[in-house]
Amino acid sequence: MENNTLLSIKNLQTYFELKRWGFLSAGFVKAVDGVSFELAKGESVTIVGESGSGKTTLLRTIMGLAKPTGGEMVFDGRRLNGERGQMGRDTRWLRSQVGFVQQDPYGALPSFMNVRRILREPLIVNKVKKEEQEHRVRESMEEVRLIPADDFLPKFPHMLSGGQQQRLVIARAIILHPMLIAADEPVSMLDASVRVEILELIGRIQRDHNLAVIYVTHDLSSVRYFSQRAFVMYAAKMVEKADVREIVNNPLHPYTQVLLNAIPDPDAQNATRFRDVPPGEPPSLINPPAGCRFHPRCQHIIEGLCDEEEPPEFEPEPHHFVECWLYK
Amino acid sequence: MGKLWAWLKIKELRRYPSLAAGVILVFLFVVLSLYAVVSIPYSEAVRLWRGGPGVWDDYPRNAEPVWFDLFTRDQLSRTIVVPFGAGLKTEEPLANGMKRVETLLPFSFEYDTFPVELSMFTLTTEVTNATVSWHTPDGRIITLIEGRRLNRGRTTYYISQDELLKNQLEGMAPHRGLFADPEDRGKPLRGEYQLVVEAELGDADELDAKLVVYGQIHGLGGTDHNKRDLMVALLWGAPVGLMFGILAAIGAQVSTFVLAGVGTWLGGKIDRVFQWVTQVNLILPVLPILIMIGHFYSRSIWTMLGLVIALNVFSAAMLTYRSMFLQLKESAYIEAAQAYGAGDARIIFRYLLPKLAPTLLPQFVLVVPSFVFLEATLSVLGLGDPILPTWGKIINDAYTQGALYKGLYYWIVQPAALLMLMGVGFALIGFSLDRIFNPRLRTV
Amino acid sequence: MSARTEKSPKRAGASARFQGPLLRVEELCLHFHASYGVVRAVEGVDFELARGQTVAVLGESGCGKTSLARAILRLLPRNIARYSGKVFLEGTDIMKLSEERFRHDIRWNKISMVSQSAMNSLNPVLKVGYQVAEPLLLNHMGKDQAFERARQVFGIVGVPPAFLDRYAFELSGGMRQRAIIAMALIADPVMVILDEPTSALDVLTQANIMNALKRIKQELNLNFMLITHDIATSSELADEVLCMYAGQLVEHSKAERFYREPLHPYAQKLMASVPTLRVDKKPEFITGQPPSLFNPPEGCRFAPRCHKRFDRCQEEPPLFVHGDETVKCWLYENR
Repeated sequence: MENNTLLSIKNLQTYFELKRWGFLSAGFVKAVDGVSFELAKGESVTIVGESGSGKTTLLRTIMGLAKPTGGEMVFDGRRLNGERGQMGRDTRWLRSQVGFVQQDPYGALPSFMNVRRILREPLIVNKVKKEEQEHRVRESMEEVRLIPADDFLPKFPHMLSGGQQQRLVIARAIILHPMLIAADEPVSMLDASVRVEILELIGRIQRDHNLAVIYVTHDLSSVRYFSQRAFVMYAAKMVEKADVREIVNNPLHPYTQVLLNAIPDPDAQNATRFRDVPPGEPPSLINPPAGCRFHPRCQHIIEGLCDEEEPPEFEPEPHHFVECWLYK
Repeated sequence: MGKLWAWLKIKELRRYPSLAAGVILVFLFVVLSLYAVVSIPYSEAVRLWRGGPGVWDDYPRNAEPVWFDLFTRDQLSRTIVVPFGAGLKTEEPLANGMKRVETLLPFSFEYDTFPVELSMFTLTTEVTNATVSWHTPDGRIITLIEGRRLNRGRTTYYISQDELLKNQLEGMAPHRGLFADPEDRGKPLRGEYQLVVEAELGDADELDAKLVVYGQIHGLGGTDHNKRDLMVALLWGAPVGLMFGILAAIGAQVSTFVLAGVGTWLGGKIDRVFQWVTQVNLILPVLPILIMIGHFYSRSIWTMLGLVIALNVFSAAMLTYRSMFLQLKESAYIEAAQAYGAGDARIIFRYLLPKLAPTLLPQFVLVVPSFVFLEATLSVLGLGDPILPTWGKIINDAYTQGALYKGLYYWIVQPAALLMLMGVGFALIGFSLDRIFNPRLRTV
Repeated sequence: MSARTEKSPKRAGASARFQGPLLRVEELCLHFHASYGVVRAVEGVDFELARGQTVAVLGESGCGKTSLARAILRLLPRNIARYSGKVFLEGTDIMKLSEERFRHDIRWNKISMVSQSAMNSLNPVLKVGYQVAEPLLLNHMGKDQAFERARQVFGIVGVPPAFLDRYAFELSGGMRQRAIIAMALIADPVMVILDEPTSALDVLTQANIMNALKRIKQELNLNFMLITHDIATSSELADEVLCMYAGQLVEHSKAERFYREPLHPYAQKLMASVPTLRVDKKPEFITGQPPSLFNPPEGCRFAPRCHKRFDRCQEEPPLFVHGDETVKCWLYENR
């Protein structure tokens, strides 16, 4: 039976230990604390959240850059244990299966290497044969439309525009033929008119090669057209999961509602009224509040419940999951 | 490296005149070093510096450099050598089977100042006695000595130190008195002089004589108390200093850079150990340690070089590089490299080090003179390499011989000036490079 | 807390004296020397702002919007090639003022600025209250008076007075940005230039800051000049919009017009590229790249990428003014 699930995560935990004076333990930063979801092959999802929500750590854990400390992760049928341990073959294999597209295109490229070298590095590291290397380099360049390739290959990153740099980053991400692309705010540092171009590019590559894509962003409006589902993260927990359309039109979790409400559309009317914003700040990941982590800022708090017990996941509507006591 | 040249565009160079000046200076020193090594090969240099029998005979003691002559109206006296075999020999057989040999050593004295010393060297195959006489241009003949014993082989007659002769010349030292103009005893008489050596020898024996009239000035650098031509050391000081400075700089700086990168990236225990070693090393006093080892073990320049490098690897620069690498460690492109599976070694040597390598260059250039000075300092303190002629050694000799008291300023000023110029040259280059490279790297 | 301050003597007196537009810019030009030539960062910008109006300066990276702000405030680098034009603040040409007078009278006094990521350049070893009061202290105001005023502006921006005694690292990102805004308000200026005030902040924090700015705008009747590339956020404050492209002003119109149906083709494409959350619209992108400011082409600078170009566009269009709408496009020659 062909399993269509690429990635399955159950109760994933990624904690970082804080050390005082080099060796005394001073608590844990619980960056990812019990996250579960499934990603099908070729599916595109967006993880939405603010800074401190744990979304970047989640992404890095999926890519093999951060070590999970608990829970279970299964990638393409391979079980990756969530224990602390040495960097095993599993991690190395995982890294070659996930392509990384970062936020800052210029920072993501070594300034002292030219385009050809930048693209060859992942191939060299993963021991791809030399003849194959040249072929793959050109193939990637064509995929991202950095053509004619010969014009670009000898150039250095500072000679390219922001959009071209990001294309190069994408070319590098797909050159190992990964099954998943992890994109961390891929367009937030680009101009407005270029963003759509890049997102469409990723979308096309995704469709052509049946790649799965995980976008991590706080700007839901830009990726809305490029992903199928959206997951909302708050304080290291995934509070809502649904189709993008559902999330935008029918947000169920109070935090999602508040978040969407705070995102402006370009409209002259905005200047005439104030926005409803919850007071306070996201909680610390070292010492999160008891019960539901959003309860100190929530309008719909149920006394005695929300502030004491963590809500489990409910499915009030088909394929629409919420971690909120309101939907018991 | 190609990128390095792209940065060093000519236009940039034109904006930094100090860089051009520095490059010219250092280039001159490199040319000087090459010239030194080619014109006076190493073995020759060592021979000339170390001395040995007869090596320094032909040079005056503490002579000033010849270009002093430009500053005086008088023609300062130079050394005149009438070598072996140049004299006119006449032989006269005698009744007793011996022969009377007369060797005539002529020379022309056309200077306005007196020579500073006068010596005669003889080579004989058998012991004999000789009579030496002096013929002046105006026809006077002065007998220097009669019946002087000449040993088999080589004998030296230090004419200028002959006390009896001095008395004979009314208290004037022979090298002055023999040349004095009778009408103006303060000035030497110009003209043709002759030294005549007469001796009786067996028929089969030979006698040869050499005269050296030591001048006041000699060579481009003058000479020292051992009659050594200072030019040897002045020339050779350049390659020795450069070599020491550059090798030490490479050894220390590059090692520090690489170790900083390795330690910072690997983090954890290794990083802590490196830091600890650096902090301990910073407290260690370099010069006293070098002095100690020099005293008790070996003063060879290679030992010193090795020690200097070893003591400078874990230096303050290590901490500077570490802070830069720490910042770089968090860069996006390093993270990307990890994401596509690059291992530690690759990341250190292909991603971390190359990014910061351009800062290495100005640092390297700036640190070369400090090592050159270190080597000179060791020499001045008497701990230099015993056989190599270096600038520091000249200064050391000058100091121990009381050059300043004796007014022999050139002895100290020449090597000191060369040292300073070399330092200035590197400093000019280093500071300009700093300005060229650093603005871009401030975004590290 | 209603921090409705008295209309300060500066502003009350000024409005009694001068009835015209608060700010009037004529033919402002700013060119820089670069190693490869002259960069024409701002060229021929002309506009007028009435009192109390907030204008958003929109455009993409390299269009000259930050340079425009610096040109108005005379925060110039050393490699200036050309700096010309007229800037009338309340009727006086401030370009003609000497450097010393400008520094004393105008900069921070009448016009202040919150620059990009200013919140990260707070001095870590000084208390926040001291830094906020610093502009006044430097102008020889007494310490007590200055700190009292600091407390006042903290109230206006919504930071509890307890934070006056804290250090920068003890404040969250949003708080720090508010402190910076307070610093810009402390000398009671008539105009505040905000350069990307919220781009480094989270969505909720951003909304909070925007709320604070809205309140300040209402209560103090200031002029804000908001420079940003985030078009959606700019609509939270803007009464008018200045759209820049390749160093030139291409459109100046009211917010209702610009955000719904802008006039200039570039502005149209720009608005089309902004993704919306609530309206179902597939965003578009603009092909090609903006021209280099080093050697801009003859004629209309947007023509190569314009979907509405025609023959006339080979010649550079002037700024056509129709009422309170200004467009630099031949399509609007005769309205």
